[in-house]
Amino acid sequence: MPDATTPKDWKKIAQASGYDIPEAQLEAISPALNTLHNAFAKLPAMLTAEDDPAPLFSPFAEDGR
Amino acid sequence: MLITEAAAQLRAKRVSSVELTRTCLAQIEKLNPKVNAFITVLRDEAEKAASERDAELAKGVDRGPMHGIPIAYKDLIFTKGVRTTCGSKVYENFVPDHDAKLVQGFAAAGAVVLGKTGLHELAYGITSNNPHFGTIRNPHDLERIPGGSSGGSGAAVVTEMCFMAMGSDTGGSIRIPASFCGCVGLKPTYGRVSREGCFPLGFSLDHMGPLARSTRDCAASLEAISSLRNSIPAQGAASIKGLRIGLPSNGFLERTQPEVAAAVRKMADAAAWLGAIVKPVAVPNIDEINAITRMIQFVESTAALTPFLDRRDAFGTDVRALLDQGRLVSGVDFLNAQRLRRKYQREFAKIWNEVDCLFAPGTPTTAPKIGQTKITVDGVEDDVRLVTTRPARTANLFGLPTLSLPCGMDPSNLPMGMQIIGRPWDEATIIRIGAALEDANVAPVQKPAILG
Repeated sequence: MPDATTPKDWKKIAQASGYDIPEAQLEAISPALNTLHNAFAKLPAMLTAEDDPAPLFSPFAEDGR
Repeated sequence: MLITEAAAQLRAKRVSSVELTRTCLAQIEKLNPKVNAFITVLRDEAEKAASERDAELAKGVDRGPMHGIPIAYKDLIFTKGVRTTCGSKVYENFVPDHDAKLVQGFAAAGAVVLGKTGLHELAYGITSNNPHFGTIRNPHDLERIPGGSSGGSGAAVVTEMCFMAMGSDTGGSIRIPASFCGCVGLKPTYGRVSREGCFPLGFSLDHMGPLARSTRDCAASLEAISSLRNSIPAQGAASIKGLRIGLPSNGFLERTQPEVAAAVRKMADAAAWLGAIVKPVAVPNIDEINAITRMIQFVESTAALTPFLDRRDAFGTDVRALLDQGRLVSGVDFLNAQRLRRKYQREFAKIWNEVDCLFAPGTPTTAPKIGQTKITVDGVEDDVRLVTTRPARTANLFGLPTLSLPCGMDPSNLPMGMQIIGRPWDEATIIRIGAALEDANVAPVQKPAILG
């Protein structure tokens, strides 16, 4: 089983997701995605079950939304 | 002239709103062909509104510091009946049927709207090199970018086309043009200014705020559209004695053009001379914070543009690439980024036990050339966008109020900028520090040569 830092195959992910991203574009964006993935992939290991998400991050919004 | 000065002159009847407005319109006519700061100019509407504001003042109706002041809106802020392009092809004919809440606020405060300023396509980038509405140019050097995404707002303010222009900031888009153009930008606390009626780029990262020629002008603008009150220090009376200023010992000042780092330290020295207590402070890893922020923004931005993703040719090359990257981020990574956001937020908040604010570079370098994609700092070559946004994203992830303040000119005669990052909801402190440093005239920024 690959660990979190295993490089991702962006072409396969795009295909499996049914995205109409041209192959040349996938080639072009893969290095940037790999860089971000490499920077991010090790971080979730520090999370514990008590670390809940902030999907609706809202520090006491005053804007009435 | 500043907003604070114009407001005094309006009330002393030494100038009228119509005169201020016509002066700005003349400046737009003269310089917009060179810098391309405005997408839409509302000449007739502005003159009519200015005349009404003058009539009100003559009758003793005074709506406050913004009364009769000519301003502009970044063209992703909805204006009823006025085209709002978001700098994009997908919204090029969009005419909102309502005003953004902040537009309502400025209308109630009596501001005069001159028009809509240009931006990086969909606010998704830092160059403002817009493939649909043309390249916006830095008034200090027309071959350089003004920064972005609120590039038109920054360029309009420093060329005196308006007194203030509103911007938006998802990953530095107020602070970066303020830094590159040499004006002040104020990104408030997340939620301080309503985002209602503003195109969303990152739902949980977007902040609306002013760019202007002084800290007090930014504060007056912010007070007009938020619950913030009494944040504007009297001229020469902004005391910062005893305030604790943190100078990051890691992260923010690394990988920074030496002149910019030196300028930030010089501002810290000046603050100490004014009575503040400056001390080094260790901050959480900002490169990790940036990775978390970018993961979240990728997904939020692509989600915001979901209805248009099949119109691939409608987007510029850079924006299309970013939207495609957002489609490929997994749900698990996105949710873990949200979990990490809260974890790092708690870590970062510990700083506020030690200091009242942080000093950091506004941008690590001065403005790059138009078309430049790579930049070398500290011997490391990297993508211009990643270098430029490196010190900016922390304040977006944690919703922290941040003032971008000019801190001098580099050897190429380009403006340098710094950030004063504050506690959530404590805009008053960073405004006080910015005003005190301006009063001390520590690092004057020259006007662009094209002003003549």
